[in-house]
Order: sequence, then C-alpha cells, then structure tokens
Amino acid sequence: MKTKTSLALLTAAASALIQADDKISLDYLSYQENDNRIKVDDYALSIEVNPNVDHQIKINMGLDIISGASPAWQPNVTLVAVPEEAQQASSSNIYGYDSAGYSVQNVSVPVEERKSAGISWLSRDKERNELTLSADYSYEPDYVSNALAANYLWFADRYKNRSYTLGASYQSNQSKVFDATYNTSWADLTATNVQLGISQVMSQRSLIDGNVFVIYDQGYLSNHYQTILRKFDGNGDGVQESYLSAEQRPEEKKGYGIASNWIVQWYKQLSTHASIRLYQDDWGINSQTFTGKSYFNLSKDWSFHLMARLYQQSAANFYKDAEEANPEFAINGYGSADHRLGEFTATTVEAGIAYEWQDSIILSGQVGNYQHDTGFAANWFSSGIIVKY
Amino acid sequence: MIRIAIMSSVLSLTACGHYQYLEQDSQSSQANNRYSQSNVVFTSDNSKIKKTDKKDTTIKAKEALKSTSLTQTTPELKTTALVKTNPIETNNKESFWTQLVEVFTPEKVKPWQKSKLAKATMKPGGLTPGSEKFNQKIYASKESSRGGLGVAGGGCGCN
Repeated sequence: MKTKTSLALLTAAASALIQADDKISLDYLSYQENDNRIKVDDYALSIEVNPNVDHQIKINMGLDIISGASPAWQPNVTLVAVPEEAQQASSSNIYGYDSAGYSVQNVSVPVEERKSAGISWLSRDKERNELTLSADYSYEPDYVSNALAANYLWFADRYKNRSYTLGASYQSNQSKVFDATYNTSWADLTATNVQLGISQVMSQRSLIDGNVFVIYDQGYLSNHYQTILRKFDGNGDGVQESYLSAEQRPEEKKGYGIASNWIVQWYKQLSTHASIRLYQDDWGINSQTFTGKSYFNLSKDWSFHLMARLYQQSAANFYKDAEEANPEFAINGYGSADHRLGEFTATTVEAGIAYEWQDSIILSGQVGNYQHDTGFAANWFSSGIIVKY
Repeated sequence: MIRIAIMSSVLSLTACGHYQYLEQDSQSSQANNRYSQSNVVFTSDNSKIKKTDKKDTTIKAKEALKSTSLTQTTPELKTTALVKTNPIETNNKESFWTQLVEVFTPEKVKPWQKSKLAKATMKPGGLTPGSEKFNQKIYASKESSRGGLGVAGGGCGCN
C-alpha cells in the first residue's frame, strides 16, 4: 500500500510540475476581400518563456499593413454647402448636399500600418492556481488602444479536473474623428469585458468549458469613415432634401452572452472542437455562432484540419441598408448604413496542414474563405512556424 | 458546392464522432454493469479467485476500466484484470438521453491520465494558435458581436 501511495504521489507530482517548453512563433496572414476592397498583410511574432514551473511570460508583437477601399455613401457629382438650419438641426456632422443624388461607392483608404505589442505574465501558487496579468498597446494613424487585463484561474478539486476563471479587461482607446469640414480631432472610447468561466474534464479524452460574459463600451463608438443620408427641408420649400452626413451610433453599448466549447479526442487520429456562442446587446444585435473544427493526425508528423463556422446576426435598431427603398434617416437621431451592423449570415470554411519536426518545430499553412449572404466575401492564406527550445 | 460539402463534412464528422462516443460509452457502461453483477475477481496470474462482496468488486471493476495505465505501473492494481465469468443480460437498449447523461457525467481523471488532454490539438487554440488569432481578428472586423473568448488582448480600429 505504501509503495502504491508513494508511486502515485510521485507520478502526480511529476505530471503537475512538468515545465512547458519555451517557444518562438512567427505567423503571417494574407487577407483579401472581394471587389478589390480591403487587403491586409499581417505579421505576428510571439515569444513564450518559462523561467520555472511557477511563471510564464509571453511577449507579442504585430504589424498589419492595410490597404484598399471601403464602401460608404458618396455624392454622385459633388457636394455643396448646406443651409445653416440643416447643420444646426442635425445631431451629427452634415458634409454637404448633392442635387445629383448619392450612391454607395468604394472609398479608397490610404495604406495604413497598425503596430501592436503586448506582454502577459502568468504565475502559479502552491495549489497551481493561475493569475495572469497582461497589457497591450496598438497604434494606427487614426486609432490608439491601451489595454489591461487580469485573469484568475482556480482549481476546484484535488485532481484539477474542474477549474473556474474570472477575468476582466479594460481598454482605453482613442479614435480620430472628422468634423463637418473634415478637420480631425481625437475622441475617447473605453471597452470593458468581464468573463466568468468553468472548465471540466469529462474523461481522459474529453473536456468542456463554458463562460458567461458581459461587455460595456462607452464613448465615441461611431465609425468616422461611415456616412448616411439625412432628410431635411433646408430651403423651406416644403420638400425634404437628402444630405450626406456622418453616421451616428449610441455612445454606450451593453452586451452579454454565453459561450461553450467541447473538445474530444475520438480516436488517436481524430480530435474535434465544437463551440457555440450566444450574444445580445442593447443596440438590438443578437448573434449565434456555431463552430466545428476537426484535427486529423495523418501520421506522427503530419496533421490536417478542417473548420466550419456559421454566424448569424440580427440588425442594430438604428441600421438602414443602402439597398432599402427609403435608406434616409431623420435629421437627428442615431443612424448607420455600415453593413456590419446589419442582418446577415456568415459562413467560414478553412483547411490547414501542419508538420511537426522532432517535437521541436511546427510548420503550418491554412487557407480560408469567409462569406456573408449579402454578397461580401474574403479569402485568406496564413502560415506559421513555432520553434520550441 | 465545394463549400457546402466541406461544411457538411466537418459537421458530419462531429456528429459521427458524437455517435461513436455514445456507442463507446454505452459499451463501457454495459461492461460496468456486467462486472458489477459479478462477484469474482481474478488476480494478475489468474491463479487465484477471490470471493468478494458485490460492492467491493464494482468499485474495483470501475477503477480498472478507468485506470488502464495504472494496471501496468502499480503492483496492487495488477490484480484487477477482469474476466467475464457469468454475464447477466442487461438492457442493451439504453435510451439516448440516458447515454447522453452518461457522456456528460464527469469522470475522476487523475493527473497521470491526462496525456491525451495535454496534446496541443486538445487546447482551445488548437495546434496553431497563431492562425486562430488571425481568424478572430477577421471576425472582429466584420461582425458586431464580441466576447466569450477570454479577456486578454488589445483593441483595434478595424470596426
């Protein structure tokens, strides 16, 4: 009995205190939308260091190069100045009036670089409970983000089959905005996220996790590149004209949801991830996300994966599609024609392959396709290398 | 068409795997039932047969089914190799819901039994977490909901 107990304790101790490998990873993404819209080249470098079994440090750096065009309402010919009455009556900036009308056009965006960096520090106590603190920063010419996050994971049983997590993050961001004459200034916005989760080992080859989350965004939440049409009788002739205006979203958003993930190794060669997320917010957006991912181990070194994702979203209550019969909004009040706030169903398929060389280097490549049922589509290719040392 | 075929394949695989899981679990459950009805346990060399009480045998049988790795390492558990001696017919047609409840009833998995769970493909980020981050970035820039994927990470002006 004594021998058994000692052996079990030794094995348990050994399994709990195995030190993770240090690793460096470099990933590249080439993303292209249809109709020659946005194109992104994204590079991400990540370094993970484990000085001992109680601590882990991760450093991330990223560079995105964004170019192309984005659709928005534009004048058919040219804009002329608007009457002072219209400017004063409107709750958002009025850019002008075009008697020839308006149409949705792809507006070129200048080549823009987004640089980001982040660091996280994980520490474990005697019971192996984990505290993770992280800080992130990113800079774009028209957007700056600073983020802090804390996450605590604690085990509920001696075998560590069940754990709970409580996490919170706070982002303090700044977005560049236009006024009516296209002069720019910076506007603040904050984003808060709190998440409570549970993870349960179901068997030697299966685990489930789930969480509830709430988000709270406040500040300038509009997109300064997005425009809408507002109707107003500016010249007093009894007929309402259409004016080109900046979109206007509420300055507050409260959302909440639940998410769950079930991971199973069916056979040595096949593992699957099945996940669901349900989301709702006070802008009127409800969404459901279903994802399935399968990993096939083709041999000791080669593996292949397939992923399918279905996403459905309802429209925000201040959204009007540009294709509607009456796409104009009232002269004041919230309004947006950004299709990302509209109702749509999105599907994603991705296939990838990975090669692991002597448990120390992983090379991978993925191709993916993303489509909205409104006609939007995008394709991507990504590749990566992970080196463990 | 290719897109629909791929999506169907992935979802079918998950469903098929789930069915297999239920089948395996059902067999395991039936095995447990059979062994729990037996009051005979063979030792590792099959030389001795111990008469034990029914409750004790059930516990040992379940332990043996869950802890196959232990049977090779710990001397005492080597004696729990089981042989079906007098199987008693049980109800082979358990309801789907019964099987489902069993699938979602957690087992006590010991630390040294978690080698499969420790594999990279069993982590939420999968084998290539970098590509998963790219995907989440794409979704964040084209959709209007967020949350549920952890709290770490920075913001972006992509939306």
